[in-house]
Amino acid sequence: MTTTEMLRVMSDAGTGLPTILANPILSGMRLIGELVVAILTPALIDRQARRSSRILK
Amino acid sequence: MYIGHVGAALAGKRARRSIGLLVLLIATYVPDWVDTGLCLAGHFTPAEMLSHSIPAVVLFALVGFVLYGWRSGDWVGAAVLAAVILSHMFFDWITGDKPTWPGGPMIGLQLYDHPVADFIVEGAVIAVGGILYADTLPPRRSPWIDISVMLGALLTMQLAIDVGHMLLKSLPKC
Repeated sequence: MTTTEMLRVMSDAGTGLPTILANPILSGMRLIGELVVAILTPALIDRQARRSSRILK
Repeated sequence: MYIGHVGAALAGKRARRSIGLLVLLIATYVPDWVDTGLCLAGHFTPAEMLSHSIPAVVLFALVGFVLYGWRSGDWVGAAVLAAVILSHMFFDWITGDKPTWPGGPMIGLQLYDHPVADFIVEGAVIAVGGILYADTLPPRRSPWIDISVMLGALLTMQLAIDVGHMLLKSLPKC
């Protein structure tokens, strides 16, 4: 199976997801999850970088 | 724009080091936080007039400017924070299709329809922001490790989103 075919199969399988995720509560939870991950990932890496520099001192 | 907005927050940190990165990260996503609230409240509209139009984003920037300046006494920092909030609108014009004002036209290059181009543009914004941000970290052994981890994590998240967009083209925001 080529990559394109594999992506098409996965896409076909995913066509039902939009209907399920169209619920406002589920969509809202998904949006919160996306924002929290986008914000916390760099914030935690930043914190770790500054903490490790303090340990070195 | 998705993870690319983080690039604006990272650049904001370079512009005013006294502002916490977490504050800038929350600020850069203010219009999306408003969308999330509207979605949960059942008042989301696909036009995103209340969250992404020019008057709405300018209002958020003004509120952010006044709140941060009043709380911290750092009005230059408040201006940087307001600029980071405003940047959301300009970056979304590159990747999305956003409202201008009530009754006005929708504008944007809609790169979301071209995930590869979207990844390249967002990746460039992330990279520029990351390079600017690197200068704010204190001197340390192997400084490239932290910035590599940061850029790697952000680019991986952006890649996942763009692949997800390719697979679930019809997934609505709310």
